[in-house]
Amino acid sequence: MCACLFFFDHDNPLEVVLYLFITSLSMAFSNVVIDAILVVQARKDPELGSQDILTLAWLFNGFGGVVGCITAAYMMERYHPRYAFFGFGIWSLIVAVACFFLSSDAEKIVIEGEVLKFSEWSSEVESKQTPSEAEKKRNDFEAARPAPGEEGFSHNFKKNMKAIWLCL
Amino acid sequence: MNVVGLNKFMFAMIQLIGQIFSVVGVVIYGAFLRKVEVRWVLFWNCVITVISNFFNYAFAKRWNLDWGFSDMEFIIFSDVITNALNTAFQLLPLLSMFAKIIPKNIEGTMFAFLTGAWNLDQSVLAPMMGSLINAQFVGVNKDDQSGYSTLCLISLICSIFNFALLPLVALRKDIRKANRERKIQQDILDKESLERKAQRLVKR
Repeated sequence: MCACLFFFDHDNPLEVVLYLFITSLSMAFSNVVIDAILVVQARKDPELGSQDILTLAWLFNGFGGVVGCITAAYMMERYHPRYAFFGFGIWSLIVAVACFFLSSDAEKIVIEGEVLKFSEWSSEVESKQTPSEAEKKRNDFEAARPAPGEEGFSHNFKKNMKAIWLCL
Repeated sequence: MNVVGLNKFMFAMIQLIGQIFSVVGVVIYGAFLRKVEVRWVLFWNCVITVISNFFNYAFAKRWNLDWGFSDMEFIIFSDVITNALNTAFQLLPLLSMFAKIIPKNIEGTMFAFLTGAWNLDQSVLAPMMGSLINAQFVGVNKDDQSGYSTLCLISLICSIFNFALLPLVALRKDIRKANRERKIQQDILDKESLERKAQRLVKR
């Protein structure tokens, strides 16, 4: 629909408003599906899954916004504004093509044959397990973890840098 | 914009910086806040909102010039940085908490309801309420903008009421408990359903 703003001349602002309305409507459809898939996939880790997946999604959303802002500003400076709408139409087409590759597995928390790792933050109760047993398992997992500050990217980075420094 | 001498290009640049800082906000959330209790994060968001609204009031009163900050410096500080902080302290914690409490099978509906209500609030209700307060009590219009600082003061006072809503935010242990209870209930229902199915098969 946005590509119509590129292909045809519009003198009536109402037409433009109508096109933008239909564009927002179509985006709302895909946003609902994307949000639903994000929520379903976030359940793989009940404690930190939603935070991690939403952080990732909004990070890419933000990067896309920055790149989009710069590209649109460049196009506005150099070309007619209608080319910005043409670009928007092309990206929408890419999303439409990508939708054909979306399988129903995206709506499942566990795909058949996949074994979920027991997360250190997991709060789920597995089948045939009482909540107190799940709590005990989590506590055991917590107790087996290295001391704070002795794991993760920062610790490994420091350790590796020290090893390199010693070698030097 | 006319009073402080902002043109369209500068306005676009502020928007771009806002986008960049919203990425920074996401990084702040992912690095430091994702394990923090949502109620605490929202408490700090309320504090940030009050400070931000105070800066808006100060900008409207032009106190920034007395403090030695130019208009542009002050806009970038008060508007753009608070944009990043709002992403980190308000948007993502609320979305992630909502993702946790949504029951199974209605994820799309509930998230659509959330974003729909959010957009209704941001783009319809908030401007409508602002226009109503302005029309009834302040009277800022195109020709007379002398009461703009009064509007900022009302916004500052209203933002303090946000603290009253904090006890309504669920704690992590409450969410965990509710999810467990929901799962146990679902297991019981599934079991009963299987039993009924087995009984029907036996009858046949």
